[in-house]
Parts: sequence; structure tokens; C-alpha cells
Amino acid sequence: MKGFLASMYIGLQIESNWTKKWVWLLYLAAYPIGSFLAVIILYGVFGQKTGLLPYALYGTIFYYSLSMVFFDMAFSVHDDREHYQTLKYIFLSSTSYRTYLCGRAATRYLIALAGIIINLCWLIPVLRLPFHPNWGYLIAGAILGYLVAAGLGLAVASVFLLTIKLDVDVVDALFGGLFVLSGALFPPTAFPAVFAKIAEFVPMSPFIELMRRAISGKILTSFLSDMSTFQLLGRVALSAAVLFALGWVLVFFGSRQAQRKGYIDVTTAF
Amino acid sequence: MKKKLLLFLRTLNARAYVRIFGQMREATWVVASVLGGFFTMTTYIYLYRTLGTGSEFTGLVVLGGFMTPFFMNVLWGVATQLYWEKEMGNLELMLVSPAPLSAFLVGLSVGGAMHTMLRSLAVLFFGIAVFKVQFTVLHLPLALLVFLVTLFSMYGLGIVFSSLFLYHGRDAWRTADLVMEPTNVLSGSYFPARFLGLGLVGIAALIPTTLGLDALRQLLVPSFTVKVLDWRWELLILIGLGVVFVFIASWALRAVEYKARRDARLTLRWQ
Amino acid sequence: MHTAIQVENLSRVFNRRGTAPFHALRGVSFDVSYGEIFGLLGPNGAGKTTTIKIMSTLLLPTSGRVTVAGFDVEKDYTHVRPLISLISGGETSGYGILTVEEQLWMFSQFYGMETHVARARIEEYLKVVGMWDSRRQQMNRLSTGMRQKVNLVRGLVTDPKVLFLDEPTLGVDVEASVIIRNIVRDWVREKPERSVILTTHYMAEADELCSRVAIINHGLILANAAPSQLKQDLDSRAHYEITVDRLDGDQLDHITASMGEGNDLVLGSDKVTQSPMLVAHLMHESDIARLITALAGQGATLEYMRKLEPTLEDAFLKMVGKRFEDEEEASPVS
Ligand SMILES: Nc1ncnc2c1ncn2[C@@H]1O[C@H](COP(=O)(O)OP(=O)(O)OP(=O)(O)O)[C@@H](O)[C@H]1O
Ligand SMILES: [Mg+2]
Repeated sequence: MKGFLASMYIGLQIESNWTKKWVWLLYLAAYPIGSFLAVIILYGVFGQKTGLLPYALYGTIFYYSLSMVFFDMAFSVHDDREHYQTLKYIFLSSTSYRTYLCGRAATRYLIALAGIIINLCWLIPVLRLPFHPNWGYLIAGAILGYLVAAGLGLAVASVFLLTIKLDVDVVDALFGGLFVLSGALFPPTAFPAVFAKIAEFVPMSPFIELMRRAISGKILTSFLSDMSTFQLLGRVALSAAVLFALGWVLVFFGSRQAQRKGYIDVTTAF
Repeated sequence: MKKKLLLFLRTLNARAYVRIFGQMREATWVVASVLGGFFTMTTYIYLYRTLGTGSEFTGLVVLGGFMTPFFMNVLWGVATQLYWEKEMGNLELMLVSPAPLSAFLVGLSVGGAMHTMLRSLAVLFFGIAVFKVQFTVLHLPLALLVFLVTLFSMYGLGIVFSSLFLYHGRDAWRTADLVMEPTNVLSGSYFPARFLGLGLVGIAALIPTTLGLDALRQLLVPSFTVKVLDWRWELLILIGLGVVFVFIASWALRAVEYKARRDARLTLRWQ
Repeated sequence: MHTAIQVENLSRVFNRRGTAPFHALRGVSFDVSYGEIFGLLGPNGAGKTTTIKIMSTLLLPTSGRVTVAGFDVEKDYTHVRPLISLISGGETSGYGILTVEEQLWMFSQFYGMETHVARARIEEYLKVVGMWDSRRQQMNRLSTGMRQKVNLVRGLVTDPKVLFLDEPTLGVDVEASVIIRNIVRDWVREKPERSVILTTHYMAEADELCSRVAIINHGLILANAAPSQLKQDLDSRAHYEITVDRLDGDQLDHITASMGEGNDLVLGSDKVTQSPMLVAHLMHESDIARLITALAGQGATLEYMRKLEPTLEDAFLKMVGKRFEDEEEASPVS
């Protein structure tokens, strides 16, 4: 636990120590805008008739809360190893690497949530988004969201532990795929039936849908509409548990394998 | 003079070689590029189907998806590179060598552009082959010219940014990360830039992909009418921007080098 | 023919945020001729790397003038760069994913070399350092010593006139250090217009390689001479250590008296055999003959004798130590 908190603190330092506190706060608030700006224009201007703006906007925003975490975890392996060259010391320390990663993920998640909350404060009134929050579901969802994100992050980190050269393209392609299938941007019912079915089982989809319902108080599209919100919560809990366990195990093997291969302190540069 | 030119070209060639073949060594790159292209395309196609914007519109955004990887490459592969070279301890050796910094950066740009081409071509390929997006090939040579001029101008901008990034370190980095996606949106990756209103387009036009995309859309999608300017003007402006960027870049690189030598700050690592 | 390097009254101030300006170099002057290996010795933070950075055009002087091969490093740096190479110990430069060969080729291109010329030289020097068999290895798989050999090759391939070596054997094992030192020595001899500036913390290395060394501390040059000269200056007397089977205090007094003014004899005992051991500091080397005769006259039999040579390390420690004392004396009591 101590190691976890320390890792959270280190994460916070890395995130914020590059500038003054108030600049950082502005940054934190402005950063999510990039993720949903296109959605507002696309659905607000071109797709007005569809009425899907709330669906897509809430969707991308909550997808963002997850993606910030696993992107960061993927890159942190590389950054710690090559740039700061501290990975070896983390491995040597008494805190396990898993704990360290989870700590960093927690910080990142909280930062992302803070950014989201700040932005929702103006998005909801300005765009007249439906807002009938069910706080219970929101909070439960937010906590499970951390597990989903951290689990995925751990899994990705373990892959990166074992690849010498970090390929941004790989991260990009991987998350690009997850993004389309998660239904964040548009209802996967647009896909051919097979893919629409697959989309339901992409681990992020139920989380995103749960958060949409929890905040808007409505079922916005037919995607996953056959499930009650409570059932959704169950699905999210299940995928969180599975993902987190998977990530946990993968990092365990990943670290072992990385130590065996001597990848803990390898540097490449490109 | 001839010697200088040769030095420039050899440096350029070597740096481009490293960029291209260094990365090709990892086979994942090809898979990632192709898959990445596929996912981009899928996202675009189904997104616009959901939006109900019609099929010509899809052709327009496929071009956006084609240009975006270059935009990313300029930002993350060229603009940040001097900063990385510094962090790796290579900047000192680059400065000690007789080769000008600009030769390294042009080499990086050429290498980066070729490297990115696969991803961009994958987007086009999936767009045309799988999703049957249609383009007119009548003006293909002109479109190619516009494309190359856009790249020239884009990478010129990247080199300008590279000195900025080097000098401001992490602040510039964070700023770029912050404005990257909004800029990409404004430059018309997801919809014709004209929809933003001329004021915003004027600002966005400083990013060469804005006008480049607009011109490409005019040349390849005949039904496209919401253009910013006639493509001929856009081509001229792009050339102008490119030339200006090259001038600013060469000045900025010299300034950076001088500052590096004077303040002893730019070769310090981990700052 | 001009000298390889001229440094005149060089000083460099670093402005560090939040602290007073820091004077890393305070009026340093020296020259280096072609054919020379010139050493810069000094404790950590003395200003060696700063001097090297200025000479290699990486850093501007705050005042003073430096020329390399006749070109001013401040104004004519574009003329200086093709003529120099810089190799630092412990550097991890280059691109880890490249092979040794590719990496060296790449750097040769930054000097505008023709590829076939570069390849031939790379082969030649890789063979010299014994790395030819590793030419296809990726840089990030090399050990420190191997990497440093590659760095040395990188520096030599471009055929510089002046080679800057900043602690080139840092972290390198004995055998590899010997290889590196031999190559550097041979390289300078190969052509007349070549010279090397070397910084190191290994006194033996400087002693072995350098025709001249400058000892620098706190940004000031304390001495600048051939290593042999420095050692001699340390103390011009000859020193001997003599072990005999027996010798007492009275006998010693006798001998001391007979040796005359300026010759000191100190009696101790050998740590292992416990035999009496005499340390003699003699004005002239030839006085040793008289001493041995005098010992024999007292009935002492010689068991073992050796001449004590001052090392560069002694000279260095004395000089740097003395400097510390001077400063402490000079600093006003607050
Ligand atoms: N960029 C810089 N900014 C501020 N101070 C610096 C900078 N570079 C060097 N210094 C300071 O200048 C002094 C001399 O440093 P220099 O690197 O020349 O020492 P050195 O003789 O090479 O030491 P070492 O044996 O440890 O390598 C040191 O006190 C150092 O802290
Ligand atoms: Mg040093």
C-alpha cells in the first residue's frame, strides 16, 4: 500500500512538475478538449439529425478516461527504461513493478477524471446534454473503470516490457481498433452484425455504456439496450475483474521474461 | 560549395537511412501500419455512415485519413527529434560534426515521410478496395504535385518546431501534445475546413495540411464544392508557406546552435 | 607550421539559475603542438570537460581565445569541425538499433566521407581494435568496453587532425584500456599533423601517453610540463630504500655525519622481515656509492635495495593538495 501511494506520488510529480501549478491545472482542464472537439463538430453540425451527440460525446469522454491510463502505462515502460533509465531501480526497489504501475495508473486516472469533470461542467449546459445522474452507478462505474483501465494498461505494459523498440504505430493500431469497437464514437450497431456482436464483448464497451446511462439517466441507443443498467454494472464488474487479473498475471510473466532476456535496462534510440 | 552540398546530401542520406531501415528491422511496423490504416478507415467509414453524410463526403474524409499520419509524423517524428537527440547524448556529436543541423532534419523528414507513406497508403487502399470509395484520377499528376508540396511545407514547419522544442524542452512538448488534436481537427482532417468559417480557416491555414487537403479534395473529388480557395491559389500559398518555413527554420537552427554553445544548456540532458 | 591548439587566457562562466555565476575556467593558457599527446589532469569539477567542450566548438568561451589548427573556435568553427573528433568516456551516443558497422558508417557520412573510403577505414580500424567480428552486432548489445572501442573507431575513421579524448578509458577493463592507449599512441605517430588532447583520472595513463600534461584545478592551471619534469620538480633528490642485516642508531649517526649536508637518512624496519630498513634521500644519485661504502664500513650487510621513483600521482597530489592549502590560507576569515 505504501508502495502504491509512493508510486501515485511519483506519477503526480512526473505529470505536473514541468510547470507551475496553475498552468498545470489549466492544462489538465484543456487537455481533454482534443478528444471530443471533433465529436462536437461532427455530430453538432453534420450529424445533427441523428441526435447522437450525447451518445458520442459521453462515449468519447469516458473512453478518454480509460485511454489516458493505458496509453500512459504503455509509454511509461519505455520512458522509464530509455529516457529516465530508472526502470532497473524500480525493479530493484521493494515495491513490485505491478504496484508501481498501478500507482501510476491511479494518478493518471484521477487526473483524467478531474479533466472530464471540469469539462462536463460547461459541456452539459452549453450543449444541453441530458443530465440525470445516478450517483451510485457513476461512482461504482468510476471505480470499476480504474480496474478496467489498469488491467488493460498492465497487459499492454507487459507486452512493452518484452519489445525492445517501442513502436508508436503498434500502440496506435491496437488502440485504434479498440476505439472503433468500443462504440465510443458511434453505436456499433452500424457494423455488420458479427462485428456489432464482437463490440459488445470489447471490455470497454459496457463501461462506456454504463457511464452514459449513469450520467444521462437514459438508454441512448439500441446498443446493449437489451441489458438493464444493473446487468451492465455486472458486466463491467466482470470485465474489470477478468482484465485486472489478466493484466496482473501478464505483468508477472512479462517482468520475469524481461529479466531473463535482459530487457530491464536496454536502450535503443531510433 | 560542391563539398558542402555533398556533405549535406550524405548526412541527409545517412539519417534517412537510419530512420527507414532502423524501423523496418522490426516486422511489427508493417503489420501495425496496415492494421492502423485499416482501423482508421473503418472508423471513418462507419462514423460517416452513422452521421448520414453521403458517399462523396466519405471520399473527402478518406483523404483526411491519408494526410493525418504525416501530420503526426511531423509532430512526433521531426519536431521532437532534436529534443530526443539531446536526451540521448547525440546532439553533441551532431554539433561537433561539420554537417549542418538542417541536413539531419531534412534526412529525418525524408525518412519519416517514406516511413509514414505505408500507413497512409494503407488507408487509401482500404478506402478504395474494401469500402469502395471513389476518386477521379483525371488530375492525378497535379494531385501528386500538391501532395508533395504539402509535404515539403509540412516538414518545413516540423523543422521550425524542432528548434522550438529543443529550446523549450518539456513545456513545448506538452503544449504540442495539447494542441495536436484540436489542430488536426481544424486543419480539416474530419470534414472540409471551409465549414469552420473563413476566420478559423485563416488560422488553420498556417498548418499546411489545411490547404493541402482542400486542394487534394478539389482535384480528386469533382463533386467537392465547399472549397476554401481555388486549388491553384492554394498550391501557390503552400509553396509560399514552405519557403517561409525553410527560411525561418534555417535561421532558428542557427540561433539554436548559437544558444547551445553560449548557454551550455541545450546539450544538458534530463532538464 | 602553426601549433595544433592555442589556448590564451581562457575563461568560462556558467550562469546557473538561482545561484551566483560560477567560474569554471579562470584564465587558462596552453599550447599543443602537432605530434603531441597533451594531458589535462585535475580533480572532479576542475574544468577539464569544459575546456574540451570549448576547444571542440561545443561551448563558447566567456573570454579568451582558442584556436584549433589555426582556426578560431568561436568565429571559424565551421573550419574547425571537419578537423576534429570528440570521444567521451561512458558516452552512450548513437542509435542502439543500428549495428556497429551501420553506426560507424552513419557518423562517417556526417563528415561527408565517400562510402567506399569510409567502409575501408571502418574495416581497418575495427580490425585494429579487435571488433571486426562484432561488426554486425547491434549497438545496444555491446558491453561498455566494446562500445568505447567503437567510439574510438568513430573518432578515427574521419581522419581528424585533433582528437579530443575525455576520459576515454572510463569503465573500460585493463586489457581494453591497453588496446585503446596503444592505438592512440600509434595513431599520433602515423602522420605528422596529428595531435591528441586527453583528460583522464588515471595518472599512469597520462604518464605513459602524454608528452606534456597540464594540471588544472578550480579552473586554473597549476603546472604544465612533461610528466618526467613534474616528477622531478616534485623533489630533485634521489630516493633509495635499503634493507640491511643490522644497524643501530649510533652507527646511523656516524654514517649521516659522513654523508654531509643535504643528505637525509631515516631508519625504520622492514614490515615483513623486521630487518632494519634505511630510507635515503640523497642530493646526487652518485652519492649512493658512498653510502654503501659507509654501510659496509659499519659492518652492515646489504639485503635488498631499490630506487624509489616519484610517480605522477605524487606530483599531482602534491600540487592539487598544495593548491587547496593555499586557498584556505588565502580565504579571509569571516
Ligand atoms: N552547463 C553547466 N552549467 C553550469 N555549471 C556547469 C556546467 N558545466 C559544467 N559546470 C560546472 O563547471 C565545473 C567544471 O566542470 P567540468 O565538467 O569541466 O569538470 P571536469 O574537470 O571535467 O570534472 P570531471 O573530472 O568530474 O569530469 C563544475 O563545477 C561543473 O559543475
Ligand atoms: Mg569531465
